[in-house]
Amino acid sequence: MAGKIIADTLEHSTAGSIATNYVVEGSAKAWANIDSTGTTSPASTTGVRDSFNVASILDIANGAQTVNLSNNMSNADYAMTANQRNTTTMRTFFNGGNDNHSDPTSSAFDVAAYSELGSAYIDPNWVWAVVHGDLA
Amino acid sequence: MTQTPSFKGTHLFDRLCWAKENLDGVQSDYRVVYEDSVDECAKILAPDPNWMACALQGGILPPVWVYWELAKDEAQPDFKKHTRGYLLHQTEPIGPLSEEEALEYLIQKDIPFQVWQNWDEGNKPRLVICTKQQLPQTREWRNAWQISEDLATAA
Repeated sequence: MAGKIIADTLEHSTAGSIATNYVVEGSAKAWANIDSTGTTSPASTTGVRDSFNVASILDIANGAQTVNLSNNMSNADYAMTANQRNTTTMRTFFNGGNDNHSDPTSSAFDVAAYSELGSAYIDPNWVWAVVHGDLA
Repeated sequence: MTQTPSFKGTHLFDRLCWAKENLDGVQSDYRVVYEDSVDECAKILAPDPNWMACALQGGILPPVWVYWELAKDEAQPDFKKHTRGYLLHQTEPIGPLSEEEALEYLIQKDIPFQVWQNWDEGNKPRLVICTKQQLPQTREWRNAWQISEDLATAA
């Protein structure tokens, strides 16, 4: 049965209490697990393996994707955390794009992976991105 | 089939939470390829599986014009933060879409207006819907990918 509990504080019997706005403000608002090789490769069944609050991803170039959100953030001042694992390349930097990429907006942000060893952008098998901040 | 609760007036984030708990993701076999600059390679849109499940289910996603309104607000020079986020939550959700309709929705939501508005004007189409299997089999020369000039524009 569906229901609603309205509370300003959650209290544990021994560990103390926490205001519910900590939970609301501190929860991730979006996340995605992406196979950036699988965006296009027929050999892979997935582009996005799993996600929350993501509408689509754009494969914008070698080593770079744009993640589009379903529920906009209140503005572009949110925090995006991203990381990657590539099964064949070590010493890879992962970031929110370079000067060729777009600034984040309330509905989208870029991620990009660069291999220090290969001195080139690469497409990792595993890309993880998480967004914290305020929803619109 | 799982029935969508009556979500009118429910925060979009809450609707997405319900969908995550109750719907299985749907991996689309389709991709949208487009070009928005002569100086850049073709871009490829891949639908999110959980979003696609919401689109096919119906009663969860807002109409696409809501995103256009928010984008207009954000384009204003004095924009600080969204004050019309209620459009996402208060506007009545759209009904179930076919996969084709869902792709059209995503094109209008996540691809620049100037691309899809005039997609078939010019020497070649600037936007193509295709299956994954129709794309290059490897990512070799990814930064040089373009839509073929030989491609016919079929309505």
